Amino acid sequence: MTGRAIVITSGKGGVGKTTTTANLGAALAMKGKRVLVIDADIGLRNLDVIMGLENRIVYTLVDVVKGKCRPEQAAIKSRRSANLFLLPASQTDDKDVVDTTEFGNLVSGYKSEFHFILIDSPAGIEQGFRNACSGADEAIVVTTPEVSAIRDADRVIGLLAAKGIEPQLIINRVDRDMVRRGDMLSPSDVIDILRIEHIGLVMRDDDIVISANTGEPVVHNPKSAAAKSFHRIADRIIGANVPAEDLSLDISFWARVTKKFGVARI
Amino acid sequence: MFKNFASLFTGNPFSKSTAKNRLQMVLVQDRSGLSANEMDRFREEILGVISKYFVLENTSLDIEWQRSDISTALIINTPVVGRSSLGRAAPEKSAA
Repeated sequence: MTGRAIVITSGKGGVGKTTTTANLGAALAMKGKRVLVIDADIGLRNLDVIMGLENRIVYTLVDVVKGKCRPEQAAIKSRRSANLFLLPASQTDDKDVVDTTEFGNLVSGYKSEFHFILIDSPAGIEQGFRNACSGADEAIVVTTPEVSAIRDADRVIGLLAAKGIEPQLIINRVDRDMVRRGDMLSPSDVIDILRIEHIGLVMRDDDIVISANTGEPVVHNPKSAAAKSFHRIADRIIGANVPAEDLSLDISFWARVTKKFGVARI
Repeated sequence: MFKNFASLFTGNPFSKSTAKNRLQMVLVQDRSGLSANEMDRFREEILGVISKYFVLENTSLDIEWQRSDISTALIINTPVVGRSSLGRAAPEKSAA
């Protein structure tokens, strides 16, 4: 098998790259795929904590690159799924300790063992980002419906295009009520502005915060709205014929009427 | 509800519309890599060239930077009122 290596990036920090990587990884594993998630955020690692594996780290990707251990020794099996593995970042080095060639070789070295390799990119567009992209065949750009996140996403999309990678878009933290009131850009606004292929929406969901507290990705909680979104995206990634989401969420009729007549906002 | 009677038939745009407009403007700049000054000079020069051949309706110039999977296109739009050498002709809008 030759795995598909997908980098998950955003430009802006804090929009949900790590949460997305952990949850898509878990969702794909739940569908029977062998998945490796790689934390490329050397020095500021978080994928381990989001997956509840922070106490199981023995070797990191830096150890593999520097030849201090074999690749399989550094991949940590997840708690809930026998198909899902984490390759953690080191916490004490900085991002220049590995270069793009080394990172690219690292990813290639795992491709025969996994159906999917998801690479959690750090924020920014410097060495960490360049490393994360190296060795990736595909990319997912995560944004929220906010001005600064979208601006940064646009820049990252341009940089990925220059590397010959055409990314797909996930819009995270969509708040249905705010969109309907006209206080938040709608998913179709975001797609209009960024003009790349759209692979999914994730609704804002308190369960995401709770799942980070417990170290158990939210996709294991069938009641969570965000979990449903991630499962849907995972289905689309594997090419399952999943109907497109309804992108008609926008300003409600009532909000338009009350705006027109200057009535105080409800 | 009647506190601000005068604004009964006006209204500020929805904040998301403001956001969308601001983003579209800032992204034209970001994508082109031109500074604000360079953008101003660019607009003036383009208007200057167009006005050599066509009569301009006004000095508004819409600039859009469009990205598709294989290329990026610069799209410039300004309303034009016929050929300049023929004086007043039928008004027409055209895209450059």
